[in-house]
Amino acid sequence: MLAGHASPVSSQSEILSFLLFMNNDSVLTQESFDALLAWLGPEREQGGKTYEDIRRRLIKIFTCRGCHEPEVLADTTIDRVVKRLKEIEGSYTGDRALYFYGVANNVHLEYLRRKPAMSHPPPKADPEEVEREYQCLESCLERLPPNNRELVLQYYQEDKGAKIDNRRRLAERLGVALNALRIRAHRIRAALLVCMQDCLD
Amino acid sequence: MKSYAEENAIRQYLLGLLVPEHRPAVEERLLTDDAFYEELLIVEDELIDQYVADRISQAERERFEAHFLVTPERWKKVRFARTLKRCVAAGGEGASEDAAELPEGGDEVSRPSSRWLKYLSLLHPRNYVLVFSLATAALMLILIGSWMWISGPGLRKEPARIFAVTLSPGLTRDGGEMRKVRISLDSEEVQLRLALRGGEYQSYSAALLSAEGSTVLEAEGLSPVPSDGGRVVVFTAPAKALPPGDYVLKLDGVNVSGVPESVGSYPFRVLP
Repeated sequence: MLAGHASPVSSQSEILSFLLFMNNDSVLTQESFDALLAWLGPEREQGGKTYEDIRRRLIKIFTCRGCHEPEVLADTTIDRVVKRLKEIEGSYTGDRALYFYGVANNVHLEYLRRKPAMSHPPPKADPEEVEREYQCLESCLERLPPNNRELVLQYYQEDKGAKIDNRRRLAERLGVALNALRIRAHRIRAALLVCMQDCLD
Repeated sequence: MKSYAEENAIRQYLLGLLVPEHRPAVEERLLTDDAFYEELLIVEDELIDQYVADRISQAERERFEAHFLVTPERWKKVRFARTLKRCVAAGGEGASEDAAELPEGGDEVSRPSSRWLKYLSLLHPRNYVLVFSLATAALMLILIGSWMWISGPGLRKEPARIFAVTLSPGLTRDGGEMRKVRISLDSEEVQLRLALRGGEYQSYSAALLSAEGSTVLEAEGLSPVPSDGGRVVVFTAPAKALPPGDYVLKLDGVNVSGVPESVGSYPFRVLP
């Protein structure tokens, strides 16, 4: 049904639209979502990427502020920006992400005034689940290119005393700066996390 | 590009300890600066790793559990870090076994099946150096572990490489000598224990300033703890953020109205 209203878009944008429309509290229509993407970037694809970046970072900000429902607050923020889009799209200058930030601050203040939500209890450490996670991560590590696998194994060695030296030597061997190595290890780790979650789902 | 002050500010932000006035600057950069956002994700991973490895101060552990672990996403990351740690450890075991050509141990059933031997056998010939390094590292660990075991329970339980020093307020103004500190080279963290005089506040904030007056590190929400019959506020800094030079730690107490009041300055000199 949604696809019938949508203009030809990338699958990524279609998924985003679908998710947004599935949210009953959302004020977004296909038209308003298209307008938001157009405001965020000259090309639809670029607008979609900026939208994703802003949403991800709003979630992070709300999380860092100790909010228990960061996704809901980020989506509420986006809804409010969409509501005001017609008023601001012609006049707002500057980085658009910062407009979202101003709205997010208001949403956060309202959140603080509400009765705080229950905190999420720590997930139970079911031994079977832990073992499945291990098997999944091991399988993900196997699928890494050998040089990345070697890098992760070396970089995250738990040898406290020599950890810094190990990393320095590894960086020298790879011919990169220590911070570049740190970033590379982080990116491989992030990919492993996604791979493990996919394996578990 | 990355500075220790920036890294520390992110760490404080993640733990909810960054002074409120500095929060907008961090958050605006998070939204607009891709590299800064990635840096936050990296510091977040490092914080989680330190938590999982129990290499985090007690005060930070409490903040981590109360403020940081607020969403299922963060719990997932902690579980992932534990699993990764286990996988990497299994990789290390595989390497040492391979290099030493030991037969399979009898406890293999209780341990996860290790596929690292296979990885290592697939490594390029130049990486025999790696195999040798891993074996050497494992041997070193065994030797260090044995030494710590022999050295007694106190040493076995000692947290990793924290250098602690107690500072008194305003010594130089009293005509005394500035406290001189030589941080041991293998220290990862420095605990500056600020002795309290007179009345107490429930909460404190502190700023570490360089000799030029620029802020090196900041922390808020610090609580006093008992120490040697008195009370101290503990300010923890990464050792690498304290190269030789003169510093002043300014301590404020937060009164019941939430307004900071100056408690004292703690000058000290880090010797080379």
